[in-house]
Amino acid sequence: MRDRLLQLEKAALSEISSIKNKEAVIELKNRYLGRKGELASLTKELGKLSHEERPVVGDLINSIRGRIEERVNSLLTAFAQDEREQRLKAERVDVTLPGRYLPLGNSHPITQIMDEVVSIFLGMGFKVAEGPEVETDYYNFEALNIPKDHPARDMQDTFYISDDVLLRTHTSPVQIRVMQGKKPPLRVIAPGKVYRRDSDITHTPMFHQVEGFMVDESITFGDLKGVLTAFLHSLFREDIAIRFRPSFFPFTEPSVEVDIQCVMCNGKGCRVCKGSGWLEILGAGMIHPMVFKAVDYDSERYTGFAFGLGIERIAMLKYGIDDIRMFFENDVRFLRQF
Amino acid sequence: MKLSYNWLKEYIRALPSPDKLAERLTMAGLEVEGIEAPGKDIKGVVIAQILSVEKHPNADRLSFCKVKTDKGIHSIVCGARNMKAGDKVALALHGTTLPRGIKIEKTKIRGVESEGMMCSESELGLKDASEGIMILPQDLPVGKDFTEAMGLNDIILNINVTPNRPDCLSILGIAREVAAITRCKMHEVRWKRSEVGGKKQPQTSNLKPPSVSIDESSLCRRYSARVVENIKVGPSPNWLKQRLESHGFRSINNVVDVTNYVMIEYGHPLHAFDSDLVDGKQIVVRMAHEHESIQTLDNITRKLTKDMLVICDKEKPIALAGVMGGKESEIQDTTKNIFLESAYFDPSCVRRTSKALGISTDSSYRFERGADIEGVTRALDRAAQMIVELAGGDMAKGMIDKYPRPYKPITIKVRLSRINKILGLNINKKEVEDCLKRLGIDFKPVRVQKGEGAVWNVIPPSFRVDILKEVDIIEEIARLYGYEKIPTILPLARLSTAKKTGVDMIREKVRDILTNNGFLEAINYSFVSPKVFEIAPEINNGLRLINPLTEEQSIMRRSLISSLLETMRYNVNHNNSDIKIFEIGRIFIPKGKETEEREMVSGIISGLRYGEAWSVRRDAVDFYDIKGVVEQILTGLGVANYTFTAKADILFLHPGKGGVFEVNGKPIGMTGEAHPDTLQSLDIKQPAYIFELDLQAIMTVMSSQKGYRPIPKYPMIIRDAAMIVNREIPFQELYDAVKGAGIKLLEKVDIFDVYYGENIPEGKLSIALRFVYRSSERTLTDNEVNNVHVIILDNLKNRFGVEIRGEA
Repeated sequence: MRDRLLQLEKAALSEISSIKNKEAVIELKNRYLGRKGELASLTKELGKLSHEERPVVGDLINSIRGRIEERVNSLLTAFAQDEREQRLKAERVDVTLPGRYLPLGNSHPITQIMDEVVSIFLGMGFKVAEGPEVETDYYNFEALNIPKDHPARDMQDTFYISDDVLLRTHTSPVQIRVMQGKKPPLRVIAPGKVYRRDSDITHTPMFHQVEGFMVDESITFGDLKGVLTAFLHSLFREDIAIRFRPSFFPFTEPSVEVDIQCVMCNGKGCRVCKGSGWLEILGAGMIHPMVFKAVDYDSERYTGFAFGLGIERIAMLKYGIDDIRMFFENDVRFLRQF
Repeated sequence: MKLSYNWLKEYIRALPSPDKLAERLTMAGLEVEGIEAPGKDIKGVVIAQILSVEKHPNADRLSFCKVKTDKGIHSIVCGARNMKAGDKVALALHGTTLPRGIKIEKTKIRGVESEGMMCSESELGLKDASEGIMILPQDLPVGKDFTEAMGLNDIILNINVTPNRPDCLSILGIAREVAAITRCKMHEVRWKRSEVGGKKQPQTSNLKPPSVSIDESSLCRRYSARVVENIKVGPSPNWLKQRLESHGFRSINNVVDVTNYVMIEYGHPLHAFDSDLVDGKQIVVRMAHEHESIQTLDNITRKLTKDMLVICDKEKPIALAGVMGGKESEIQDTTKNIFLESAYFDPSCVRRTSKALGISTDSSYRFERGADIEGVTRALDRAAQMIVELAGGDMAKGMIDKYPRPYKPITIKVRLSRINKILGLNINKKEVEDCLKRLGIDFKPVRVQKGEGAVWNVIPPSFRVDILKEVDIIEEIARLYGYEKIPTILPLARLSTAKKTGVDMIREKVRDILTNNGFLEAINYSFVSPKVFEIAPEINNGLRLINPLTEEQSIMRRSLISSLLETMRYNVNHNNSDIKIFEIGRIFIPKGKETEEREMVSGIISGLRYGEAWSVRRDAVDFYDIKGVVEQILTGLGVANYTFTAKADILFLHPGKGGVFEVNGKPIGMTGEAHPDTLQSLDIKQPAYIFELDLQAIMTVMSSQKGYRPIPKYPMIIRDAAMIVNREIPFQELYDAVKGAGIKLLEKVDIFDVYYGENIPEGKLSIALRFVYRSSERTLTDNEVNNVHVIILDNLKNRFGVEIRGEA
């Protein structure tokens, strides 16, 4: 009995050592260790043994079963691991192929710059206001101290709908409309489309402007400089050079033209800045008493500044675009770049 | 305004260098836009005279010339043929360098020695291209430096003079400004007047001036004139021609040139008439009569209207006051006697006439901005004197000067406190007075109470027509004090909430949704071509511009769709046929005299749904793509309870593939396939799908309010049902019937499959619906669900005759 057991173990272990696949292991496991397997049938013969021998052989059977089981299980684990590895290997994909996605669209470059400008002023507590694009002569000119027959009208070539109705040439009429309805203190910006009868590489008949103004009891020219400097530093670079030089707008006095150091050549002088090292970026000034008069503000009590800037010009400088007409051609190869 | 540096130097001897001057002027409000120095690279070229021109012995195309300078006689081989003996030319001798890097050396050309080159305008850098060599005026002295002789050693500053500063449209005006800015001394150029007549010389009949009367003294506040007799009209001397040319004027004759010269120098426009052609020795300044006309100097006959001021003789208009003279009394070569006018015309009146007739001249430009009424006679005297000097003749004694209400200076009260309040400065009385003095502005301190701060009565000079109010003086102070010296500070302000407008928030949200769906944003012009209305006659009454740039941009759009179709056409023509584009903008609807502006968002899709990629199917977009986009927008904006109804007659849309979105019966937008006829008329060969939504209408029905509902505690039970339905029955009706059955346990119903074709009878289709049942109070049993599910299905069977599949 003992010998048969040891022989069985030997045969099993030798079989195991040459086994090649998982199925054979399972078959072997069943054959030797199964309920009707060889070890089980030998166990049945235990009854034939004497009382003394029975526990000894019983122990032997258990230890043989243990050893075979251990070998079988470790083989099964090895095969399972192998199999998993095979499967994972087979599941490999070419991860270098491009991913799948619906391409994102994007907003228009003008919209993006406009948002940037607006958010800088929102951060300084300005509110956004809008007004009509089809305006009356009164709001676009008269109330802004540009009477009929005034040469300043030549500064802005106007599209007319009728003698008295026109496409606004600037967003400044919003200034009047806001002031008519509200009392100071006011901090407002008015973004929008404006129209001028002009078309070449730097002019389109429609473009975008942001007008802004601030009115309170003690707003000074120094405040104008401060707010616009903060704005330009935020929009371009904190250390960009800025200069304020006298100019003329009928609705502001003193009026100022604001230049930044040329962003293309850093002020050395290039084609973009026509060699001057400076770029005209916005117009501004202290709101003219005649404008306050038009909206019934007491100009002795209130002072304020106003400014206006062209979005296309800023977008052209920021993106290095040299033909303004690109913005309105809407070529997807252009639009997609922003 | 072009400004000669050399001319200015006659007024300001200590003038800063051109670059420095440009910088100072710019920073004082006279922006210098450019500096031209045409002769700056020409050095060593001299005036020479050709003595002989012979054929080159060894080359047919070349000439051999002998030319003379002050240094002697030189041999020059030349390829040009436009010269002859006696011509004056620009000679570059050995050692000279020309602007385009041409170095002149002694060489042998085909065996003949050449000592230099006779230059063409292009070789001198004066023109981009030129033919032949430059033949110079005969009166230039041989041997003189070319740039000096031609006045090319000057530097021309191009100054952008703002409309408020007509006084700076002259050498004198800029000189005054430079003196104020730089504190340099200004020397007024002196000249003397030589009148004849009186005792020494008897006055001839011609010298007796015509009578002058002003009918409109508010529009012609001053009219002065002189008569010069026995002149000889001819070409102007070179120096005068050159000065005019460098300021952009063409030389005409010595009389006209003088009037222009004086206008450039003093800023005051003048006009010379041939006085023998002025009928009746009588000048009347009056309004034109209806139906009157005049042939102006540019040979155009102009019809006049009653609001135009004219200068007339006894019979008829002979000049448009301040705008342009008449052809009939023009100075000609044969003119002997002239009547020289210097007047002050009302700015608005000149501008109206100039605009109405479409003539803008250097004269009208100055008058409409405001001339110096006190400078009228100085310009007249100066011009008359120059004419005498250049064209001979005698200046009649005495001047006509009709000046009914002489100029009275205005007085402006200016407060130091106000200056400092506006500018944010703390300057003192002395600094202000210094600025005023430099600007030639008179002032008198006003007695004030102690501690009140200085106050002045300020009297601006007559040429400063822009200074009318205290704030005008404040600007002058700021300008002269220097903007750069005003401290830059951030204002103190009360905190306030800064918010975007409602429509701005919608725009942003819509933009997010669309760009996340792969749309690109376009911006088109608000004006469109009337051709748009050929495909959409319904919107033909768009706002029309009176003065469009082109017919293609003449009508304010009433829909964004036409613009987007154009955008699509442009891109398809440029080989980009997968289109997903949107635009947000206003449309313009005439409402009587008013215009309603509505903010719209519109989109267009065409081509492949996902583009070309290895990982997706190459499916073309269809109606449900565009409808889905709109549904996404409406859901994203919180528009609940919208309905979509098929509609066959929507502008731009296919009759069978389009419909309108409505909320509470009010339309908020539409979507569908673009009408094939529309696409064909635009020559677009692929289907396109479009939508347009009215953002203003949406604003009134959307809800940004978000609410929380508890997550269900009890499980749901799902029942799927596939059914055969008549194709004529819109899904919406089935859906409404299911929802309308009033089954409370039905949480939602979704359609998850639509199929027709094989195994489905003609005219029918198979629809699969998924019903989700749930109670918020307990777990449902199968029986409960079966009971209500049957009710729903029976309802569908009875109402629409649907056949539930799998139910034999």
